[in-house]
Amino acid sequence: MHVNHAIERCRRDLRFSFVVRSLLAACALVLIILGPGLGLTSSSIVVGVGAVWVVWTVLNYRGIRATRLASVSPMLIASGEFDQAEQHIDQAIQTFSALRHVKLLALHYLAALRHAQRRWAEAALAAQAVLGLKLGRGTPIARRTWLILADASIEMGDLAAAQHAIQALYGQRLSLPEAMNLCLVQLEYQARLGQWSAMMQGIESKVQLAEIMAPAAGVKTEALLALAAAHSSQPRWQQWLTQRVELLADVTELVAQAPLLAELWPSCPPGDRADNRS
Amino acid sequence: MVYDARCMSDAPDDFLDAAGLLQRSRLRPLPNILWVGVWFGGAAALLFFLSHQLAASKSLAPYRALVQGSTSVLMLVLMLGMGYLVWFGVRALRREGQQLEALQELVLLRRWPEAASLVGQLLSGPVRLPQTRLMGLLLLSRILMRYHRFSDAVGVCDELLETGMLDGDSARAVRVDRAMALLHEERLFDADRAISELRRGAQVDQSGGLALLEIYRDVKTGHPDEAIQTFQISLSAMRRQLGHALGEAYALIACALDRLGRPAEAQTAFANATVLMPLSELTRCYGEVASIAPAYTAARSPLEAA
Repeated sequence: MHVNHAIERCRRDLRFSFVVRSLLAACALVLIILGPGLGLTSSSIVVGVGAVWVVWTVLNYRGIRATRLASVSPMLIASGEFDQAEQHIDQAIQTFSALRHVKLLALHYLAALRHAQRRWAEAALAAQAVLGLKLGRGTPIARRTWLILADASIEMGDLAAAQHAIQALYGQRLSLPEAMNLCLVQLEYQARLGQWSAMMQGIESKVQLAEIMAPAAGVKTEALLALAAAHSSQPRWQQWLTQRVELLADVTELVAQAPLLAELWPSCPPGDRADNRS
Repeated sequence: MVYDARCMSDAPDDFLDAAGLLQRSRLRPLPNILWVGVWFGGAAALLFFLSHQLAASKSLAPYRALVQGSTSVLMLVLMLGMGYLVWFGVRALRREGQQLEALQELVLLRRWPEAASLVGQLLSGPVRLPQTRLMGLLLLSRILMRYHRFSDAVGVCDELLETGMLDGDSARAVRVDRAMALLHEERLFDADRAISELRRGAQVDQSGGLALLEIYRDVKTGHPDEAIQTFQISLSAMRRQLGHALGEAYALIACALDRLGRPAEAQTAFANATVLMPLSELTRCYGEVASIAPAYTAARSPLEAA
């Protein structure tokens, strides 16, 4: 499934579903309010409104089914079953639904899938499309999509876009997983810009967050903090965090994933990241 | 049952009545969608029939407009009523979801007293969604284990497994928790059987949780060599899956090395353990670690060293 096609399909369906919803609502209102005035018998009004209700219910049912279909994908993405997740998302995108959030959700999951597949450009494209659909600033989908966009932008080296995405999350009430995600994304962003003292601010709480993150994210967070400590002449923090990272991960793999960290372990060769910039 | 006075001291006697919560949290019977359909369909059909009869009645001809108007209003009321019912149900579901989300955060943040209070609230009455109940029970078992209520935790894990609604990975995690609780409870025979069942599903070098379990069993039953061997072959999986809880494995290995009379290596393992986790947490979790702690030097975090 190509992201551009998926975005086009979603936009077209959203426009069409808006027309269908408006038509159904208009039909129901005309029948109820203007029906007696237009000389319609009460039985024909009841039948007409009933028909509108049935159509509405059928369309909603299709929407709920599509939502269920798409809702499985986060688990599939988390377990690395990307092909299956893609199938589910594709079906949700192809299914017509009168419910707006079905398409938004499917497109958001597509962005999450591409992010997990490290196809950064496509992830950013899908995320921008979701955010362009007027989600409302504080909705959970919007917050998660901004996080995906920020991370994908950093990986693509587009730091201005990353900063814009991170700023969009400031002042919003984040859930704990979102706060953990933002902490890591922000550290990566600051490390690229060499904002070491900003990274060291509130290091105790950042370390506490790292301890409850998923193992890979926690290790990366502590490695970035160790790097900041090295640049800020904080040898105690540097030594302690480096020791933690060495116990928890294979530093060669870590440096291959994040070449910035090669400074901490000069003997490890930074990996080729060209494949990640697609 | 083994209770740790240090973590139970702040808990009242009736703290988290696990059996009661299991009983009271049984699913709230949802209004059968079929019956809701029958009620609303019946009401609509009755409305249709009445309006048809009234419209056909010659004696009511002067009131036809009134009849038609009132039928429209009744139809509107019927639709609004149904909308209100759906809205009310959705709001209740959302409230339950928010409570569960808050509970997950409290457990992650290790704010145990607040988590215990919230799980008590969530499960003290019938729950609307089976998934909410499952997740609530899963978190209840973690909280009970934190407070060394291992017997109750085993009961909750059993209830979770009996539902048959857990996916493969979650069921596996619950089985690991259950076996760990059995080990803490000194029910070694049952724990060994639980570990054997877990082993049928996965290799010890692929499952960090199972490896930690086996290491603890071997340390507990006086087989330090086997514990060290398990540690060596499953270190990679434990690193990937356990995160900072790898400190527990290092602490147990320090116990095993201490028992084998290898104090220098035990010191290294003990220091590694305390780099990853606070000593207080390790000694609270494992009595074996508490018994060797005075003999070794713990690593100090920069905050402690300052």
